Amino acid sequence: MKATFRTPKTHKGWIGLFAILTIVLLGSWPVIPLLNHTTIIFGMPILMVWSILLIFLTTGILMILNKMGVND
Amino acid sequence: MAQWIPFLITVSYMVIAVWLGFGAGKGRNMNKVEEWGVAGRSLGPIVMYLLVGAGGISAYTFMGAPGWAYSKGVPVLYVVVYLTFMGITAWYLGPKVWDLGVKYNHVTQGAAITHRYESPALGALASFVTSIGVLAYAVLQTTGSAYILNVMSHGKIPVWLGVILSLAVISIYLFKSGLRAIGITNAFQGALMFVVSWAFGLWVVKQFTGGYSFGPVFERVREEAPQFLTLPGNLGDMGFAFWTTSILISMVSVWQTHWIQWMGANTRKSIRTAATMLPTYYVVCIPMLVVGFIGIFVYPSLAQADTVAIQMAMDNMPVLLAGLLGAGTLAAAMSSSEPCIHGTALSYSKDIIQPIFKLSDEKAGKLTRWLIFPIMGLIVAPISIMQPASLVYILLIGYGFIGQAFPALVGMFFWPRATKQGAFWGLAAGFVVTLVFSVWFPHPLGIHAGIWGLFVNLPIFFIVSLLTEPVSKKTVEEFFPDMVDELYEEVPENTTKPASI
Repeated sequence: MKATFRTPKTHKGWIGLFAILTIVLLGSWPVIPLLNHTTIIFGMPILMVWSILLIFLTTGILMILNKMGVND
Repeated sequence: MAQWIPFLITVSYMVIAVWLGFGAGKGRNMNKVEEWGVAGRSLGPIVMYLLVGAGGISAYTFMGAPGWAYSKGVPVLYVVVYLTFMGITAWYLGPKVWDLGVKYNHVTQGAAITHRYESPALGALASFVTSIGVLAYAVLQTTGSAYILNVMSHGKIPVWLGVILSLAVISIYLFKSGLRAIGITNAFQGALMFVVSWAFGLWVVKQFTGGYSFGPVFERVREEAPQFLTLPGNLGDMGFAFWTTSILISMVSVWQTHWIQWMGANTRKSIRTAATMLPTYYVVCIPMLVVGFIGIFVYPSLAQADTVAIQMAMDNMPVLLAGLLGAGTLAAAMSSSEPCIHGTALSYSKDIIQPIFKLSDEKAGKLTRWLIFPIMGLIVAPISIMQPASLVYILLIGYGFIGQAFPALVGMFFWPRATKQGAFWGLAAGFVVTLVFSVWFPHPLGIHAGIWGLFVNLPIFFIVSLLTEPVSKKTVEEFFPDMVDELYEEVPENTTKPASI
């Protein structure tokens, strides 16, 4: 028996995986240090604005993936 | 008399929860695991959204998050990010779990592990050990419920009585209606928490600044205590590595309760829709966090940071709002503890007791819902009342184990070559490393202990799996039907035979 991994079988699947990894990166180490200052935007610290943006960005991306019919 | 209004509102919430939860199972045969355990797989996307959303907001989040904002500052935002990303996990894995459950009649994670790895022992072990973290979490929530009842009753309800009362309320509707009760009460609790959080947050902001904008709050924080607005925060303990790894370990920790909730969906599309919208629920955290930041100036030397929100409510709020906050916090505690008790009863019955005593599905079904009573009476209630100092360690150990089950899930959905030995030894090693790096040498290099556990777990999982016998072709066909041809592809004979010497 081969030791193959299950990977996305379609272009849509790969796009979905790439989109998800991108969102995760936007909320973690490579990006967060860039926002780590005391700037206040819309009356809130920039990290708080970014966290709220991530909420809607995540939902938005998942909605697009649903529309595209990404299943794998 | 006015001082009792918050208490009466809190009690009214409990009565409504019982009424809703009790009625949820009307006309259903709750002696069947399919009904009591997974609501006959009938929950639509809106109930799923509130069920999972409210389940994610515990009393710890509702009270502890303002406490973190008060003591640390923006590091608390990692909670918002990880809750958001748990929506991605639900979106990605939820439908896959649901498909398997419907096809092979699984209701628990342990059952799926038993099936995938052809090992009832591994399924039972996973069920038992994950229940440690799940029950420790239920204990914390129950303690939170008792604390709220104590505060709202001005100390007239002692903690022990608060524990019994909150568990008794849950037991009424949980026994009667199972996951349907959790679904409907969480929907109510979720909506209540959302309203309460925003009403309370905006009221505090208005009191503090004279308006509804958060701006003046944060302008003052920036002027007087800017360290609250950047990582590593006021206490200096949340660097970028810990922020990132805390989010990652939370993302890959699939709780038994999540698994069972996904199983309760009526279609895979319902899970996808609910998971897609799930992150939006966590906007509920924002006003509570602002309350914590305001607390920095209102209570400069509060002994217990976690009490900042409730302290502000009891000191300054109109009784109606204070009562709603009490009800909202109690809702947060109960909506998080009841899935833990339900999930543990279901898992103990299906994954441990049924295989050991070889019970029929019918007998196991009847037994399942009765198990909530010993779980509550012999485990959750006594520990909640005693509040042992070791509880935090139990919780850390439990959490550590849940995260370490991730490779076993990789083997279930993405890697057919995974074996029970690989899953077991990876999990055992990862668990030990997580334990050591949680309790004795906390988070070396600022990396979360659970991630250190996975650094060890994953290589062992892969290596031991490759060295041991794979599961049968039948099981591989059941879990990876689209890969069978590729996995068992015949290789031309002349390329497989070693050259003779």
